[in-house]
Amino acid sequence: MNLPPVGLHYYIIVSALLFGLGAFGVISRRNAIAVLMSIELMLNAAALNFVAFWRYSERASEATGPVFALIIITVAAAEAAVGLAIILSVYRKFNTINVDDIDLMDG
Amino acid sequence: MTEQIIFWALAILTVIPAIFVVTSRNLFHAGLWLLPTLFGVAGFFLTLGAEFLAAVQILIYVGGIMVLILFAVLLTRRIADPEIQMQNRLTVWAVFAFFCIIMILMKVAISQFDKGGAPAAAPAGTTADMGTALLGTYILPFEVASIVLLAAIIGAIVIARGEKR
Repeated sequence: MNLPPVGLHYYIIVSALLFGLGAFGVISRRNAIAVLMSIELMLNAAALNFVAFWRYSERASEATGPVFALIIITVAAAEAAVGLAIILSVYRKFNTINVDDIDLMDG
Repeated sequence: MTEQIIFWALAILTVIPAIFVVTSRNLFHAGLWLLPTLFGVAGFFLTLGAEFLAAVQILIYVGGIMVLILFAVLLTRRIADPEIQMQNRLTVWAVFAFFCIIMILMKVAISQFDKGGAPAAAPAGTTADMGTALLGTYILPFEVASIVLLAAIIGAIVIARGEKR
């Protein structure tokens, strides 16, 4: 059995699946923490795409892709901290973290 | 051949748990299912030659963000109660959005990037390369990232502290 080498589109498809599942979670989940987990999935998919495109590009001798992915991971860490603080604050105010019930700005 | 096997093993390790992350009824289990997904992405970083990034992925995500999320889950009441509806009424539309996204992205991936070629030689993803890049060309994003982290830490404390003591 002789399989072709792993090409760029393999990584893009895995990343697309991760991103689609994250989008599914963001739309369909009711719990705010579950929404945050889905956002982490989408950020991971984006970072994976950056690194894959960098690896298969002509200029892989410059560390562009990993630096971008590193910034994404930094922003993800900041987002998790602030997001969970907001969830805690919302829970104190509304006594729920169900994103369907938090409709203070729903005119 | 070997890289095919490694790729498919990592793909299964990444995508199958991700399905459970977004569908699991128990929020704690959903958080735990996030672990193999994050490890799988770290494995992908390794196969792509970004070894420093793989280490950072495991340190920050598995060591930091996962612990934070699991703590938040444990603060939630009745995480495993089957009475509580975990999906909202948009689930059908969410499935629709999922299929739209993967159809478009797969179409683009297969039609535009199916070169089948091996990657370019000698990637600069080692720790030394990353350090040189971060303190050379990318010093401004690097410093801005530290300010972002500082602002996020202070913001998180202020938001989570509540009204007044």
